[in-house]
Amino acid sequence: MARRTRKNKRKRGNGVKLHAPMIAVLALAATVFISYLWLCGRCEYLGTRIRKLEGEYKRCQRRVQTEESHWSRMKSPGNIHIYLSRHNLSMSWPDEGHIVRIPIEERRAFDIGTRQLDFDLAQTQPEHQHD
Amino acid sequence: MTDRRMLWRMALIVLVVVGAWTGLAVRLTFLHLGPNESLKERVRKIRHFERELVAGRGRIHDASGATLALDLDTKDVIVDPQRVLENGQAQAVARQLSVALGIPLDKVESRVNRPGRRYEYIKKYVRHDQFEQIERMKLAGVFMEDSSARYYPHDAMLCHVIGFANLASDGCAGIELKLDKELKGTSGILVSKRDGRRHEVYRLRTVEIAAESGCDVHLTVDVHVQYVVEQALQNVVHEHNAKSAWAVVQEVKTGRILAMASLPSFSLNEYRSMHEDQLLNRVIGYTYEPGSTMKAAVIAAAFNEGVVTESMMVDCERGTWFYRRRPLRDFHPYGLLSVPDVLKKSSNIGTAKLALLLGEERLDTYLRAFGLGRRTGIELPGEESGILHARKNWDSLTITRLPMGHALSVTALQMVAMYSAIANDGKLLRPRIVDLVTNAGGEAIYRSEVEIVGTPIRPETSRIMRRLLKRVADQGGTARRARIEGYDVAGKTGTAEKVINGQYTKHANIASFAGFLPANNPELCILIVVDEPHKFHTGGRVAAPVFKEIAEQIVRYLGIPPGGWEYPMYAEK
Repeated sequence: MARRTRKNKRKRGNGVKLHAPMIAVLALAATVFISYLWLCGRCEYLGTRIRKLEGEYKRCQRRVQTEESHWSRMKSPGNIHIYLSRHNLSMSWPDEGHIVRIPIEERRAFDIGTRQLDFDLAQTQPEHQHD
Repeated sequence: MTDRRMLWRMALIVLVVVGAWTGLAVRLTFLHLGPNESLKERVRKIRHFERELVAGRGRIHDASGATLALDLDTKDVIVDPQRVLENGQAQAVARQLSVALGIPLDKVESRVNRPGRRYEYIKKYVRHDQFEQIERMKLAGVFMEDSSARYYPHDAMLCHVIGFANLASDGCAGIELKLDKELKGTSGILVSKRDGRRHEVYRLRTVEIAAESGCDVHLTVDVHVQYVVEQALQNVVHEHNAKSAWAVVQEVKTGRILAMASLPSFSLNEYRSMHEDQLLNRVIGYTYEPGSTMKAAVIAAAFNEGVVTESMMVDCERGTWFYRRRPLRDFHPYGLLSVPDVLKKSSNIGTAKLALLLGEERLDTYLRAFGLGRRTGIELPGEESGILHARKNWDSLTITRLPMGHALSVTALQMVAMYSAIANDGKLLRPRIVDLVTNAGGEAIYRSEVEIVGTPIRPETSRIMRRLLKRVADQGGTARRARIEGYDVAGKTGTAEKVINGQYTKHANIASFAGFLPANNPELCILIVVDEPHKFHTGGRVAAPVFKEIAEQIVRYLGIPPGGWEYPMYAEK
């Protein structure tokens, strides 16, 4: 019992007194250290994410390339011909007698008319929206 | 005593621990700060890495935007035979790889059953869909490595024009070779450091220069027109059991090549297995004697010089004429023929007499002005210039042989350019097959434009020649099989005997037809050449029907009206 009392006394006597500036410096150091750790972690996370997204991007690019090559192959005239034959479809160009040719003046008039119609529609469109 | 011993023990432990840590600290300090450069260099080498960022090769497109060539990311499938055999999975692995890759089972088994080997290729350049399937299988001892391969979605179509790039991504033929520098792009570089797990430390990335993809090349050819031409050539080769055939379609007013085909062809995706003969683009790389198709140039020159008129009559000597004691013969015997009929009936004697009226000097000048004897300058490698001997080397008979397409050799491209000039008011244009080159950002770095090389004949002469060549396709002309319903066709047939062992032979011919349409306002010029057709051998019987087959589909596809465009449509492109 006596020994314990003595020890307690010694402890009390040798206790370190922490001053406010010191606490502030320590807190600041701790904050910097934690921030550094957090930033490191964050960088690591972002790095991993970049790597993952780069992989994803590469995979998507590869897929686009593959699909484009498939699409280009599919719609090649030779392939279309094969598919038509497979479905017993025989296509030929129209005879000259089946073609209606519009003289250039009429075509121009038609184009102007179409543009005018488009313009008129564009003018009337907002009114409809207001209604 | 016990406490004392305990104290010593504790002190010893502390001493050992402190000693160990001190040792480590000293060693660490020494490693970091000491003069051990070799060690530091080793660490630096392990951490530092430089990687070349490979630039993808640019794409090749046709005029309609269809992709003709592109780079595909592929993988090489590799097996570790030792591991597979240790697992006792050789049979199963071989079977699954055989099915997935479409390789014979015995071939895969022979690769897998190699004890002691750790690295055996099963298949190189495996495409996305296939390697994903293998990845899903998760076969122990099977792994893949990244690779890249050039892929041609249209396979054999346009093979001579596109050419191919080898496994090192170097262009080896066609556009791939001619525009290799533009298509290749610029490699990038990445300099960085990696951690102990060999992962890159992103914040230590010091240099990163992104790879710049190669330029995209847009051609003037149209796959639909090309398909029509290739089909027609295949039909004629099959029908006449011909050795080979080639054809070219050009826009008269712009010089743009819409189709260029040559048979035999080869698969661009299997170019390693092709024969040398298949590689030759005969349109630009094969010279031949053009035969009677040359008559149009001589008669055009005669009209342009004013030495003949349309009403002038020429004595065709009933089929045989001796000039300098050497006979010159016509295919059919004719008496007096007007100049237009000389062309329509394709009289050798009549044209030879017109050439004599013209004289050697002027004939030579006109043939050269039409671009014969020199390369056209098209953006393709391997173009031949043909042979047109210098006038000083002509013998006394050359002037009568040149008009019938002998004593010179030409390429099909030169002939189509010449006929386009006759059709295009006398303006000889440089044939163009590359329309546009764009960089990775889509900016145009090259755009081809109409280039007038020369004007060998006047527009009035061109009009006369259009009228005369139109008569050739009329009833009684040699090109009547080239006629198309609703359209006026103008053109000239040619049948030339081939030279074998230094002598002309009647058993091996080159049949050709050069024509344009609509005759009064030409938009398209087409040349067909068939090498060694059997059964029939004349241009009128063999090549003219091919012209008809091609032209009647193309005018529909391009929507060309019977009178041609009323305004310069192509100028807007």
